[in-house]
Amino acid sequence: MLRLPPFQYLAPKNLAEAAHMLSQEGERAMLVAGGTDLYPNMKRRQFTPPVLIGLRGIPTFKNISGSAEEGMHIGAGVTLTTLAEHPLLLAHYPALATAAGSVSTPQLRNVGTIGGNLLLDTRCNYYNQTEFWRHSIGYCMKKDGDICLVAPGSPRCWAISSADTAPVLVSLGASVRLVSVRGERIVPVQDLFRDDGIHPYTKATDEILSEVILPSATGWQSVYLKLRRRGSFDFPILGVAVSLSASEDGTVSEVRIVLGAVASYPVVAKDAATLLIGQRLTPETIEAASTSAARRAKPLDNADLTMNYRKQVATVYIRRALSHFLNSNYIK
Amino acid sequence: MDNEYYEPGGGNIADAAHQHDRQVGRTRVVGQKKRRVDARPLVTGAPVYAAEFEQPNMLHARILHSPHAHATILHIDTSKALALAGVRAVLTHEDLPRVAHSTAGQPYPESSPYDAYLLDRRVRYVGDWVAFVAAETPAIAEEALSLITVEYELLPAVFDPMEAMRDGAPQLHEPDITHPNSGQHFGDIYDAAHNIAAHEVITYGDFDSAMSEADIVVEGEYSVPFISHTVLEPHVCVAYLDGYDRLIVVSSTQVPYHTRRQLAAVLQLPISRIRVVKPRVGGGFGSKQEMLLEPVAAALALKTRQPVRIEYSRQEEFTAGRFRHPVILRMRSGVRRDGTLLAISMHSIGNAGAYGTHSFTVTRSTGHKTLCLYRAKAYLFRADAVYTNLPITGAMRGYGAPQGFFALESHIDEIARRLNMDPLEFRRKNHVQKGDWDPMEMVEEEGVWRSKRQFRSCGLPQCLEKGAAAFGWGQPFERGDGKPIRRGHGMATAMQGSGVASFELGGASIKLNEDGSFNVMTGATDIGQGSDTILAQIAAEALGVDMDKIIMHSVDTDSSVFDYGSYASSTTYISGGGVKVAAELVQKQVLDVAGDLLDCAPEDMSIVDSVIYTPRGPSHLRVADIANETLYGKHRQQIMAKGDFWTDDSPAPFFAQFVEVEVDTETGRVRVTKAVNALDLGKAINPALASGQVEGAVAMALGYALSEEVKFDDQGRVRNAGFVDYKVMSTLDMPEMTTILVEDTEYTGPFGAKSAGEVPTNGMAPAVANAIQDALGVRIRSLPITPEKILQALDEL
Repeated sequence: MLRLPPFQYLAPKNLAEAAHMLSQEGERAMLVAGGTDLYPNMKRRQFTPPVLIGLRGIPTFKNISGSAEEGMHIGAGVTLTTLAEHPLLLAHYPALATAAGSVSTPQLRNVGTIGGNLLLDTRCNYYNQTEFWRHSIGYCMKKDGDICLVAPGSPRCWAISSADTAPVLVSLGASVRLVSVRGERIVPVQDLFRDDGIHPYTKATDEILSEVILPSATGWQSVYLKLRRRGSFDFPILGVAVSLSASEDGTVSEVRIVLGAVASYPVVAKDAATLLIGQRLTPETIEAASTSAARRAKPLDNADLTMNYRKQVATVYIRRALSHFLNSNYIK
Repeated sequence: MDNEYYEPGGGNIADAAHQHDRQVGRTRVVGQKKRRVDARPLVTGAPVYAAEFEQPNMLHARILHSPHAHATILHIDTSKALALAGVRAVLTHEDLPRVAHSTAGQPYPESSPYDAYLLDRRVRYVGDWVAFVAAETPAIAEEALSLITVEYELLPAVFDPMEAMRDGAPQLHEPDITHPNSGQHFGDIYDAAHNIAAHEVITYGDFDSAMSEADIVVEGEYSVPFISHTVLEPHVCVAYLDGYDRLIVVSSTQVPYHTRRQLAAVLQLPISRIRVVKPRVGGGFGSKQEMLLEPVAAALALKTRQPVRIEYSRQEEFTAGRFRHPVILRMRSGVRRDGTLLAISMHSIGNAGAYGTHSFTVTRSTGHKTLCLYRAKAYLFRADAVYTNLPITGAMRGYGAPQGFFALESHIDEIARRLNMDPLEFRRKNHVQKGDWDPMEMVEEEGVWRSKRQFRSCGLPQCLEKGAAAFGWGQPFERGDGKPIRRGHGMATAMQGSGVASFELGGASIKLNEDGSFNVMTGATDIGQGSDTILAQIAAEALGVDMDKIIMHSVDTDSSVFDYGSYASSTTYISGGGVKVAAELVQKQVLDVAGDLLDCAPEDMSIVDSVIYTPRGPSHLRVADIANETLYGKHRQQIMAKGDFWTDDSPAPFFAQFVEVEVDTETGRVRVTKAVNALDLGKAINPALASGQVEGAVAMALGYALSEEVKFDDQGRVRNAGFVDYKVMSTLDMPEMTTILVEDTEYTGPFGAKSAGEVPTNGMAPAVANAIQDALGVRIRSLPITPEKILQALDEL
């Protein structure tokens, strides 16, 4: 059995107390909600924080409010199971319900939260290994070393953004509320990420992600497709999230195509979206947009299956995601 | 029409049927879906496993593993580790006797080379053992590992068996191993200079002559991957010294008696000083047909004179446990245009990893356990097991047969397609028949070669018939248009043994208690498959009592009857045979006393549901009355007997696997949507447990077919040592499954039973490959069948 390193656990009762604790403890502390990502990483010594601040006791973190017309507020501590089964999400933000319901296993979804999934550590199969393994191979730059083992000549880390909900929330145009003792700010989900495998989030170390804010769903449709080996357990090795709004004649007025698990951040395929705006969805326009979007997928050999394969099927998955709107009769 | 050429032996199964003395009539306990005897503790989470066995002042052991694939240890400094508070002992190769042995849990003398040492000054794979630590807590033990400094001299390593066999390749083992039993014809490495741990050739008939008659010759090379057993309960044991200063080892093992013997040899202790106890076990699948952690805990317990527990982490299971041999299999066969199989050949090259445990027998079994499924004029089988600097491959459920059957049953499908024959029809025409003799088991007696193994029962025709009907084989189905889905149907057949012919011993002793209950003390090793329940049913049936009168006790080497352990599909057949003998002897002792009391001849009496029957009907006496009479009355004695069983037979269970697959032609993803599993097991002692064995095996084999593979980097390090990256199929990936139990009575087995546990792992992988061929017209010859292999094959169309 791999064992957790020793740590002190703090249990704040409300957000202000949590922010205060985090400010006091500084970089010694990490936040934990469900712990489904953090604790295994701690067992493998990717993280060894002396202090954990548990967010489970904060009642407001479990809140869901709002409507499809006005937009919704989802507390960071809402479980993935709750999201996957929520009737409003299923009806109006189906991509989010699908993504939440595709994370890992039912048991982990019962514990894992939306905030935790969004802030999932980036993954790499040279990094998500035990201390023994990483020691024997010589550590990588993301933890304890100074080179990238996937691309040894690379000056940067190529760990992969592997959260299912991240590309979906970017495609939905969602935001997050970040709270600290210094105040609070609302940041578009897209701006929460940066292209850096080691430090993939723009969130300051004293900030707590308290809620996810979904914009109005009126006029929008969404879809999420996930590539993985099995029907359960697996992190995405490709995620395709698309949100689309179309005018009455079927002309695409807005579309956001976002790829997960192809880089250290959710990749927005803007060129592909541009190709579709003002067009009707047809097999031809979909093919053109898919080919364009797939060019943004530049996988490396640091996840399941080979990079060539993941690259090869990106076009297929993007085409299928866009074709979903055709099949669902996208003109509403 | 049957294959007319097949004629390996003579003999008559009717003889065997006559020798089989009683029943198979109506049974009261056997054949029933009885609840497992250990169901409640297992389901309620009672502390019944070795890891939950607590002792006062118990220490926790950890192992320092090699980070290098091949190196010589120049120097080890343990002083800092020993200085750490709470550390009680550190052992290195300098502290232990260097005893050449095999860790294979096989009968003496092991048919595996004596190439292993508990600790050696050379390490041969990443994960090999370097030092042992015992400390007051697991955390201290782990910290102590990090304080041991080791100076290595790196040696060139080799990972590919083909490269390892070449002249000048890095050599893993010295040819001149000093045996503890020197002069004996075992323990040898076949060709140490070329890293060939073991080699075997089996021939029958004149292969070249048979091939010359062939209209069509079909060839193919197949390969199967390095996979893990993924047992739920890792290897674990506790060792301590008792009040007699004996060494007690409580271990999660499949082979308590072999372990006791090997432990004695490695630690240079008399066997009499060791007692091995097996509590409940959370799965073995062959990984525990090994002595693994027992000598580590034992050496540390002897050194510290404190109890020591050691348990592998999941990481260690995936790097320094045991694995299934990857094998390259070359097939070449000749057939007549009418579909008569004339000759089959197989050449297997197995990757033994760093040590040759089970390598001879597993690579041998790839052909020995498989080619006899078909009648032919001639057979040619060759096997080599090759050392490489990879983790150790050993026994795993099926023991070579899953590898062999993937090649053979894919190959048979290819032959049938070349002939434009339905693969089911081809099999019907050529498969082994009841009464046939095994061409893989030829022995020379007084200058004459004859087969020593006859297939006295064979329910394969029923498996094929019932399986095909349940599946709808040959019926039209929605094939899909390839945009993007295509569907296909595939099948495979398989067989196995029930124990190893002439190589087993097992049974029980049975003792009567005053309330009419019986202690059944068996050496048979329940590792989660449910053998204690099966043996209780056999004992109850043969004694004439219900299950609640049976008290199971397994295994304690001090009190159980000697047993070879749980492997080779032997437990029901071998140990069950011994239990039945013991029960019959005990029943006779009971009836002798009852006959005296009732003035009736014992041979005219019987026991039904604990009531003593005479020819006039039920008497007023119950078994408990006889117990009281013998323990407190005039016929004072302890009613007790032992029964054991060994045989030159190894009856074959037969299996037919039918599957439907759905292939996404754009992504290459394969889903098995429907599976029909038909097993001939002679007699289902417990149909619920038998079906569970089948479905568990089929689920396991689905991962072998589609996703499981231990991957290594170019330095021999495991890349996917955990359940996130090592892809075991989940419940959501399981097909709709139908299991059919066929009972073609095996007259040599207890109540007609033969084995069930391994044979159902053999069919899924080839059936899936065959179904993919049916769906797409492409042939995948290597496992696992990943989506990329499908896309690549479609590209090459």
